[in-house]
Amino acid sequence: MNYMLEALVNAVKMIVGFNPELLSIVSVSLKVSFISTTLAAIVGVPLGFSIAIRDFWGKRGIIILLNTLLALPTVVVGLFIYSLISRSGPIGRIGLLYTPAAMVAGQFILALPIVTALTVSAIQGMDKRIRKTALTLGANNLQTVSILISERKFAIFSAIIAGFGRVFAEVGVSMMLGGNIKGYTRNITTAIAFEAGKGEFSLGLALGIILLSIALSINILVSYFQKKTV
Amino acid sequence: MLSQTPNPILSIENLKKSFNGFTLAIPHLEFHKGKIYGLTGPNGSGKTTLLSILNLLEKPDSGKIFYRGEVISSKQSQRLNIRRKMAMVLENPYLFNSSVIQNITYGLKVRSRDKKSIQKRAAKALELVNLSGFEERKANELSRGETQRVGIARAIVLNPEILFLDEPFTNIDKAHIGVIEKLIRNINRERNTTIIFTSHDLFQAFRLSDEVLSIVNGKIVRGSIENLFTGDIKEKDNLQWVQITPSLKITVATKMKGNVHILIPPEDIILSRKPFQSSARNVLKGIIKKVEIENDIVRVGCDAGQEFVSLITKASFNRMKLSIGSPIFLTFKTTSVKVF
Repeated sequence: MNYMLEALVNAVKMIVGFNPELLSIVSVSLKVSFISTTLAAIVGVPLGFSIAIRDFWGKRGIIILLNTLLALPTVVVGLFIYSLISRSGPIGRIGLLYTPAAMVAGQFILALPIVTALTVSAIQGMDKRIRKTALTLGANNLQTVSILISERKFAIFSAIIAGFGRVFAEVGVSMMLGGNIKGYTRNITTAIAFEAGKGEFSLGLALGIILLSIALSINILVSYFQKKTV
Repeated sequence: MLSQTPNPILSIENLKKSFNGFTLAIPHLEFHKGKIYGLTGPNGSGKTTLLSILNLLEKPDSGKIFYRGEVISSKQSQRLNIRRKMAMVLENPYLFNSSVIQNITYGLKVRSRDKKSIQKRAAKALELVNLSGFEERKANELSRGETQRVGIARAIVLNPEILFLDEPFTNIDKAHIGVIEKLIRNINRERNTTIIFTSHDLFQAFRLSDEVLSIVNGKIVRGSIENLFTGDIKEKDNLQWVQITPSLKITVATKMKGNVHILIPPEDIILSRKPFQSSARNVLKGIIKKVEIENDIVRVGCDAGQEFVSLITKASFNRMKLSIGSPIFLTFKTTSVKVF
């Protein structure tokens, strides 16, 4: 018990004292997850939008597939990308393995179905009168799309934030594709796994506290946007 | 008198639209510049669908729509151009999640009008619906009546050639019904705007419009839909009648069978104190329940097993010394009864 308490005190000290190693790890996490989520939003929001408003053959199937992909195991994504970018893989020569770029690629695949599926339900759940109102007031197609997005902006924001929450807390992709290289690809989750393995609980605990607080902030943000949406 | 251009501003030919087992079918219909049309009919009869098709928000399954004699194709740019000459106020208008002024100016902004004139026109439109000073209010904090009035202002600010109003009075409180009725008349008079509105209040439809169209079960019926009944066709000894209730039957002449709607134009029902000899086959006995006088016409509501309405002149109403509670006979010819 004493030893747990000691680790906790050390962890708080590290956070309050802006420990440089701690900062480097947190900044890798934030950078990689921010870039991967932004890319997932750039692709996923328009994709989700067009799935939601168009009627086409196989639409239900695509939505079921997207919902299945919400629970995509991170190690499967890691394995898939690994097989592509490892030395002997088809694009192995580019030298992506164990770089932040590889982590971004893996996290992008994890976040994309979340952003897309939640955008689909955000747009499908919208009031049918919005489109009719825009059209009767003289909006062209582009203007109609932009008012639809603007009217659902909070629901779409929460879709993007949910995607960020998922990739920020994942460990499989980061470990397999980033390789936990200190100061380069070591992020919060891989560092926690690594430190725990070494029996160094203080840094792990400090990172855990940060991870939980960020996850908590994300959830507060999502529930704020969801309240705005209603 | 209202000016009437030779070409209708909007017309439809052989229009058909089906959904959920319901079919809207209109062989021919035209609307003229500067007139007010009241569209009445029961819920689900196709009023809103017709407005949406006329406003080019929905496409019919078949048939053509003409704007000033020009057929409207499925070309996006043409549809947008013509749509921008009209505006519709939905039943329960949706206001965008922003301020009142943002809502009012939306249609002008998508048309890229210059900022100065936008502000001026918006202020004027708000004034017309008695909402001056509401510019910065949040749209989702308005009452239902205010929402409806912002919806109307948002459409009239565009100065459309044709204004569609879907049940414009449903959410308006009594104090403002007069304001909106006056507004509709003024816009029509000052700007020569063609106005097509739906209403379930027949009296209002008659009061406001130059022409009342009734729509029943997806079909247009000229005149009002008072004296509209439903029943089964029965036949015996070469005599056909529709059994409305066990004790009420109305003689008809039709080739149709089974369940039908019938409609008796109110002006075709003759009222008399005593039954009289005539060729008319339908004579019903009833009691006067309601009397509404407008100008020289009196609408007399009678209970004869069902509610019937008869239109008579004020002179004959006075001569017959009719009043609420008077027993009365209603007489009308078989050929006056429309079966569909």
